[in-house]
Parts: sequence; C-alpha cells; structure tokens
Amino acid sequence: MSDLMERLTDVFREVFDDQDLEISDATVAAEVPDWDSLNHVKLVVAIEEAFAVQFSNREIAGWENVGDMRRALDAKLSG
Amino acid sequence: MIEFESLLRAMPDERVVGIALGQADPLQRLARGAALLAGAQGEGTEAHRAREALVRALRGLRRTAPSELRAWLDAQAGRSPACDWVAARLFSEVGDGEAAAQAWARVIEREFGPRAERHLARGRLRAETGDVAGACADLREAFREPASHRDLERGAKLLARLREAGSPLPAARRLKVALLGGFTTQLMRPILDVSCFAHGIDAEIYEAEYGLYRQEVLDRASGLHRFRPDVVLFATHWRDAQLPPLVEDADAAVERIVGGLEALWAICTAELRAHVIQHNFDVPAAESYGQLSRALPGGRTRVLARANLELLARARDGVSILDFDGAAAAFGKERWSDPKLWYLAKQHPAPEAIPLWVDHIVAQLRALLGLSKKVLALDLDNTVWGGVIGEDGLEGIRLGAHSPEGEAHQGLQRYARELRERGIVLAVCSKNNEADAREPFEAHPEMMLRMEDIAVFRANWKDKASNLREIASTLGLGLESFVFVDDNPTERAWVRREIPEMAVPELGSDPAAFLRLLDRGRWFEALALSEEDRLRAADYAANAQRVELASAATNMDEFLASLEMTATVGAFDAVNLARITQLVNKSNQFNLTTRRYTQEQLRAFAESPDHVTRWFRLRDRFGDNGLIGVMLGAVDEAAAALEIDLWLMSCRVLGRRMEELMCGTLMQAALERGLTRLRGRYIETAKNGMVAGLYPRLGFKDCGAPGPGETVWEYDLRSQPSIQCPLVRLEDGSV
Repeated sequence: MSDLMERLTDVFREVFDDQDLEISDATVAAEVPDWDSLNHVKLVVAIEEAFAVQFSNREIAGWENVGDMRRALDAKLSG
Repeated sequence: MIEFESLLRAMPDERVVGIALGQADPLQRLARGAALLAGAQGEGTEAHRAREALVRALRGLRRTAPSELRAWLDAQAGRSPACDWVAARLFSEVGDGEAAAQAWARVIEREFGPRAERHLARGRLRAETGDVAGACADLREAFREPASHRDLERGAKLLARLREAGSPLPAARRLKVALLGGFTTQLMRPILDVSCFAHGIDAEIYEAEYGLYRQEVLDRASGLHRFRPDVVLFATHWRDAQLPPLVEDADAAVERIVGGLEALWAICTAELRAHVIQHNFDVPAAESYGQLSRALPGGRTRVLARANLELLARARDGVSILDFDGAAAAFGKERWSDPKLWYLAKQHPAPEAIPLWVDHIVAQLRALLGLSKKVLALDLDNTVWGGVIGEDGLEGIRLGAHSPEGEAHQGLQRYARELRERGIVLAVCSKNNEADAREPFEAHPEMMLRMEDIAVFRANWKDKASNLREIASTLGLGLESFVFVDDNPTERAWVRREIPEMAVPELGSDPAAFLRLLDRGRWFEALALSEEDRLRAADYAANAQRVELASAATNMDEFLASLEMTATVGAFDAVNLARITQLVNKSNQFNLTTRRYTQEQLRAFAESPDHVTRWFRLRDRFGDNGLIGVMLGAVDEAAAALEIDLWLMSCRVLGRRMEELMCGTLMQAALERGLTRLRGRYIETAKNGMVAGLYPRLGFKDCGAPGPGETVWEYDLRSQPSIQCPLVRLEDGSV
C-alpha cells in the first residue's frame, strides 16, 4: 500500500472511529457504515487538516469513490 | 551507507524519511530508522514530524518482519523520551498495549511532545483495558491547554467510547445543555462535549436542527421542552439577524432583532427555568458597502454593533451574552468563517475556530456553575519580577519602566492587581528566604503589588505543592479553585503531577507573553460582579487577621465574643438571588445536601408557598463578610415537619457558631407555620465530611439511613427548646 493510501486510511479510521476499517480506490460511501453527509463533511475537514490542503466544493462534488479522493489529494500534495 | 546514516542524523526531516527508508530491506530500514531517531530527539515541530514519519515508515514491518521490529522497539524503549514516543506508537501498532502504556508513562512523566497527543494515546489504551478513571484523567490532562480542532475531535471520540460503558463518568458537575443553532452545530457539538468534560462538567447535550431555534422554543411539545435543559445556548450568527446591507429605520431593525430574541429568552427562563446563553452577532469581514456599512446609520455593520449593545442592555437575570464577535476578532476574522463549508453544509465558523469559540462557552458554563477559579497563586523570581531577589538584590531585579523585560513583569503584576480588585484572591508561593521575598513588596518603587494585596504569603524552601496545599487550607478554599503561575517548567510539572486539579498554565519562556497565556485560559470568568466579589479580597485579608487573633485568644467563646458579630437574615429576594445562586452552586464543605439549583429554580422556591427560604449575612468588627449562608426548607404538612433541603455556608465564616443561628432561624420559621418538627438530611460527598456530625451535635435524633451515604435526622420542636446563638447578635428587622 502506498504511504499516501496508508495515511488516508488513518484519517478514515479516525473519522469513522474504526481501527479495522480497510479502504481501497474502489471503496464507495455506500460500503462504509455511517458514511453519511455529516461524516462526509467531517472526512473533508479531517483530510484538509491532516494534509494541510484545501479542496473546492467543485472538487468535492466530483468524488465518486476513495480513488477520486486519493488522486485529488495526490495532485494537491505534488502540485 | 554510513554516510547516508550520518546525513539522516544531521537532517531529520519528514520528506527524507520515506525516501531514506523506503527501498531498503527490513534490517537496513531499522538501522536507518535508529540513525534518524538519534538525530530527531528535540521538542520542536520538525523533529516531531520526523518521528511521526518514521512511525509510518516502519509500521509496515509489523507484517513483513515482526520479530526484527519487536527487537528494535525493545532496544529503543527507555533510551530517551523521543525514543519512547516512537516505541509507544509502534508498540500500539504491533498490539502490545502493555509495553505501549509503559512507554507512554515515561513520555508523560517527562512532559515530552504534544500534550494532547500523548495523553489521548494513553487514554485510548487505558479505555481498552477498562481503566475508565485513568482514561478520564488522561482526557482532562490532554486538554489542559488550548488544543486543535483535530485533537479535540479525537478526544471527543474517546469520550464517546467511555460513555458507551454506561456508568456515569467522574465529573464535578452534570449539566443538561440545549444547543439551538442558527447554523449547523454538528461539528461543534462533540468539541463542546469534550471541552466541558475536560473542565469537570459532564454535559448532556440536546442539539436542535439548525435554523429552527424559534420553533423549538415556541412549540411547547418540541424536543427542547421535553429535554428540560439547565442551559439553553442560542448559537446564532450575523445571518440570523436577516439584515439587508442598508435599512431605513435602524431603531426598528434593532428592536426587531433583539426584541425577537428577548421573547424567546423569556420562555426559556420562565417556563424551562433554564439559564440562557445568547451569542452576540459576529460582524462579517466582507461587506458590499465597505466602510459605509459602518458609517451610515442604517448600515449593516452599524446596526449589528448596535444590536450587540442592545443585547447586553436587555440581558436580565438568568441571561448572559456570549461574545461571539469577540471570539471572531480574537481568532481573526479573515479565517473565522470558511465559505466553502458554509455553502456545503451550513457550517459556521471554520472548524479551526471552533475550539476558541467553545472555550468562551465553557468559561461561561464554569462561571454559571461556580467552577471559576478564585485564587491566583504567584511564583516570584522571574515571574513577578525579572531576576532572583536573593542573588540580584533589590536594585538588581528587573521591574518597571527601565527595561522591556521589567515592563513585562510589571504588566503581569498590574493584571494580578486588577484581578484582586474584582475579588480574586492573590497568594504568593515561592522558593526564597521570606525576608528577601518580602523586600520588593515593601520597598521597590515599581511594584504594582503590595503586601496587603497578598492574602497568604509563603516564601520558603519547601516544595511548592506542599506550600500550595497549606495556602489552600489557610484560605479555606479547595485546590481546584487555584491557578498557579510559575515561569519554571519543572515546578509547573511538579505541581500538575501532585495536584492534578490545579490549573497550571504553560507560560513559555518569554515574560512578555505571560499575561496573554494566563488570560487565554479564561479561568476567572464571572457572569456578574457582586458586592461580595469586590469585598472578597479584603475579606480574606481580614480573615488572616482573625486567624491571628484566634491563635492569641485562649478561650474560643471569648474570641468569638470579641468579634462582635452581627447577622442579618432574610427570605430569598431579587437583590440577593445572584449571590445565593453562586453560593448554592459552589459551596462544597459546609453543605449538608450539596443539591445544586439554577437561579430560576431558586426563584421558584422563593415564590412557592410550600417553601421557607433564608439567606444570612454576617459582619464583625473586621468587616462585612457579605451573604455567607443559605437555607431552604420544604414544608411537609402531612408530617407537620419542615425538611431542610439546602443548608450551606461559605467556608470563610466556619467555626463562628453561625450554624446555631441558622438552625435557630429555621426552627422559628417552622414554629410560626405551626409545624412541630425540623427534619435534616446529610448526604455524604467527597468534600462535606466536616458536617457529617452536625445534626447530632445540634441535638437532632437519628431517623435512619434511606440510602448509602445518606442519613435523616429530626428535631422535635414540642419537646426540645429552639436553638439559640448568644455569640451572634441578630440585626433588628431581620426575618
């Protein structure tokens, strides 16, 4: 697993308060218990805080799965 | 490879960690990791980030090379706090909770690394092993200092997990708080929860749907009304004022905004008997009218500022205004709101601003519950003045206008003196020869503080925790009501360790910042300034004189007679209600039932035909002690008895036989209503042991124990004479 995916997993585990949570690029919200709109906002905030980045609402709206999130994050971090 | 390792040692940096360790085989990675760790021993943020990066780089080995990783960890553990930090993190990753707990204990002992992270990590481990009390202690330790939104969010999760266990968590007070937001409060709620808990308040929070605060209050069948809150927080912001950029009639606009809220407060205070905390309006940074918005009488900025003043003017008893605009300004208005999150989720303010806002709220809740601090204890050398008086002498210490450093120390003294003027008790706790320590107070022209400002002065060579305990018992105040200020981190750590309930703020190393770092804890917040508050500091000085007189007098009654005490007694009234509420909610020692009531509940007792209410004031030849005692009796017609629901007294008048006068007063009231018995109840707490034997001492008969730690006592008013107190004169005109 890439370092970025591992750190992203950490953030997911923290937000969903589940130390055994596993995610992959293909993971979608419906597969993760409690991934509702509130936790989605919490996820955005937690990722922004953990990686010191900012996403726009257009970017956030375009995310269909974890892979989209990871790629958006990767682009911010290397850009 | 040697060169690479020495490079790592010289340049421990988060970015190089992954590259440096990434490609190597396990043993090589661990060797490089050790080299990196050797170079990243510092307390700074860079070193901390490098260590965290190292943890991430090495944790994969738990699967690929578990025994090598384990051996490496055993070698690192105990070498230094930095090594323990990394070992503790990785021990948790490999599932060895016990080794992790031991490593965290060493890190914590040395106060190494970010406070919140180390205590939350150990708190989680303790929670896993069922050590709820230990986990709660770690939660409180984690948030002694202001923390980030992210750390508080983590703390809130730990708190939620501890709550799942079911039994009530240890906390000084429980409180039902209703959160009525004009914006969404979902991110804020857990932060409020954990911040309350860190300050000894176990809050039960009801959260309304955002934007529905009017409906919640007006609809008597709403969740709010069913919840029966102790406190209602109107978390509103500038958009809730619904102001266009310019209004024709500014007076009417202010009336519409403030009058609308006032009507809601009235329902909360009268029907719910709840205290109201009302946000003022955070004036937005971005304005289409620019500075005209303030210059024009009907401009939005101007009207909001006027509405904020009007809120203060109309806040009556039971309503306090929270300075949301002040919080925004202190945080920085440019960053206060996050427009993206507003559009996405009606989130306001920005998540990073939530902790500061919540700190404001918690300070008000503490004040409401009587949990605000009462004593500021000061170290002297390098805190109250620059330098060491015992070595530098009166001329050598830095204090006052002659140096920037001296001005900073003088600034802190001025702040302390201002606190004293509003009733905060000052004490000195320092390691000095007493004569040296006193000299500046008596002879230095630039001192803002004088000996008479200090209620208890302890300068000696004993350890500071012992001295602080002594100061507390001399003052008759609990250690949890102290803030201790000391420039020396070792002394601070010692006092925190020995007296966890004492506030000991971090001060950094620059005296210029001491005042701000002390102030941001909001330790001394008060909802109102009563006459008693202003008198209090002088009162403690007078008390010290009484203590001296007491040690001179051989006969206690003679001494008490020499005090020439006069008491005034009355039923609860509007003038005294704020002080009564304060006393009811903060008295711990002389308190028979330790029942807490809000101001609204106490007002209801005053109006109730089935209750007898009494307040007591006491003055003597040294001064006025103010309102120092409260009793509440509930009439039980069926048993022809008056039951004592509340009986409490301020510690500063203990040992004055005041309890006899109080008891006699209530007996008189019972007889006047044709009742024949006075019934008392003692409910044991951790702090009220001093009154465990009060009822039998006064001649009450034992009527059994209805529950653990609870006993009932009765005094038959037909066969026993009413209690008299010859040593305290009752003021003419008293009830």
